[in-house]
Amino acid sequence: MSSLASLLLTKAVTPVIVNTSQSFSLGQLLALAKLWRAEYQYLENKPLALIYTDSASFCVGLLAFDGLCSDLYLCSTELVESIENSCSRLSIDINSRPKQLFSQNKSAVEDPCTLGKLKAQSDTRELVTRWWLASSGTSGQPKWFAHTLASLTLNTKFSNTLSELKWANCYQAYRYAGLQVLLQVLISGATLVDDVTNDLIARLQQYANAKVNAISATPSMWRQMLMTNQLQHVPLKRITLGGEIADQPLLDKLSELYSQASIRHIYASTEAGVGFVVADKIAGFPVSWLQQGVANAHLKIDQNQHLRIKPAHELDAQLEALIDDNGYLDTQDIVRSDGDRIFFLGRASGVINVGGNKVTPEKVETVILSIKGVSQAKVYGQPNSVLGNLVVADIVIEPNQDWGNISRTVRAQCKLMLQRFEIPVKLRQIDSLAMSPTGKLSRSNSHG
Amino acid sequence: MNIEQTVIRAMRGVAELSDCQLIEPIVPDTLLLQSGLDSLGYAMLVAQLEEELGIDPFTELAIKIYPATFAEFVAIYAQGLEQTRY
Repeated sequence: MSSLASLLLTKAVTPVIVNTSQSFSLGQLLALAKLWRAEYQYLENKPLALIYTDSASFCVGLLAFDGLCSDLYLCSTELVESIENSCSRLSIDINSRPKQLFSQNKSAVEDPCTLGKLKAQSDTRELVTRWWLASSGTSGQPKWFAHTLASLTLNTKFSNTLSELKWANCYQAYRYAGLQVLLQVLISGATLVDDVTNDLIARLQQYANAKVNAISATPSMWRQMLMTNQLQHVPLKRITLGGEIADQPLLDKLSELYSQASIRHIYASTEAGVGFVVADKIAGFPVSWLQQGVANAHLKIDQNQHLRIKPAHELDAQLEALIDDNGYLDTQDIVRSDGDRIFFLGRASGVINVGGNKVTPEKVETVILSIKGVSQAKVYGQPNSVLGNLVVADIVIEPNQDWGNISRTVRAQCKLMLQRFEIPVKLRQIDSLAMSPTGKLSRSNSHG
Repeated sequence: MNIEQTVIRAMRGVAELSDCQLIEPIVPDTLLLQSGLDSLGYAMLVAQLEEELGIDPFTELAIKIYPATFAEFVAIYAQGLEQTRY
């Protein structure tokens, strides 16, 4: 497998990344990548933490260092904190320093033969870089899983229809879903519209003006986009939902609004680096896939009602404990079979999905249990029609303690120690918590 | 207390809990996404109203239009409560 840059040159695709003021062709991105690679040649066969700033800059980094570095850690400014200090880190800003380099080489970039030249010059001594993506571990600390360009692009398609798509970027590309969008854009020669505003109404107006026709977002994001009353102005041909369970009312609403669009919900596991697409506008997936497999992967349901998946590629060694003798990985997703359909019910580990953000109950419980007067705490998800789930905590306090005081302290401490989506929205005082026979908190039912 | 007042009171409570700054006054034409509550705030509002009113119209009804304004949001609850009466 060649590097990302070589792959795109071989495919002769012409992807474009645009932001509010600039537009970057593949030729320009590759030329910039070449300059970065030349400047950081000493990173050959060394690991690099690449910090996300915006889609175009991040893309330059991927093009520059895939095939040069041994490992690429795809980071946000927060995630980079979890990377060892010995690892080099780099944040590329396409508009600052490289711009000077860029202008010096402008003539080369504008030359129509540039792609050919770059191809001829491309370094043949390329290694297979490991791409590391973070997933929230059980302690709430990020866990890193290795992928390769080959495994990440296993299901990436190319066609004339796909190359005409103009994607909006709702996820940042250091996350699995965002990287999938970026790679799809690059490999299919499509366009990516990068936005900067957090104001959803303004963002959708920007999408409408830019004639964005493809969006990948979580079900929660889609619900919010529907609430803007602006979505219908965006001429969508392709609608992708991922990161959370896609429910039927939402799929129905989107297909009513866009009867001609391709509506696809994606099941993906960052750990396994696999995904499959359901395109029939029905929640869950067909039961027949358990026999036939899907997208180069085999599926089965184990005795605990967990979905197990066996991808064609090799799985990260850290996952060994979750892989059975036949090579099937326990996805920890609980499913239910109903007629000819398999439906997703949630995570076996108790991880709560709040609008696509994963909350580890143990992390929140640790904060609550650190408060004097609290004797037991159990954190769980309460189903919510806006964000899928909200975080709720059941708390047992010591005798003679005042619930009013304790709950105020719990709220204050959670605000201090946790991210907003991790803070329990509701604190319930209860008398006791059920324990499993092994003395662990029972997570099999949501209450008490 | 009518539904409109119930919703406004719940919005104020949620804004305080979720560290959001609610704009004042909230009028029928106020766009929900510009009222000061973010998505987490809305999720909490829907959960709070389910406790107070006993319904979550977003799961219980086939919503024809997703509410964009405060008036539309209130109307969906009014419709939901109307349906639970029968």
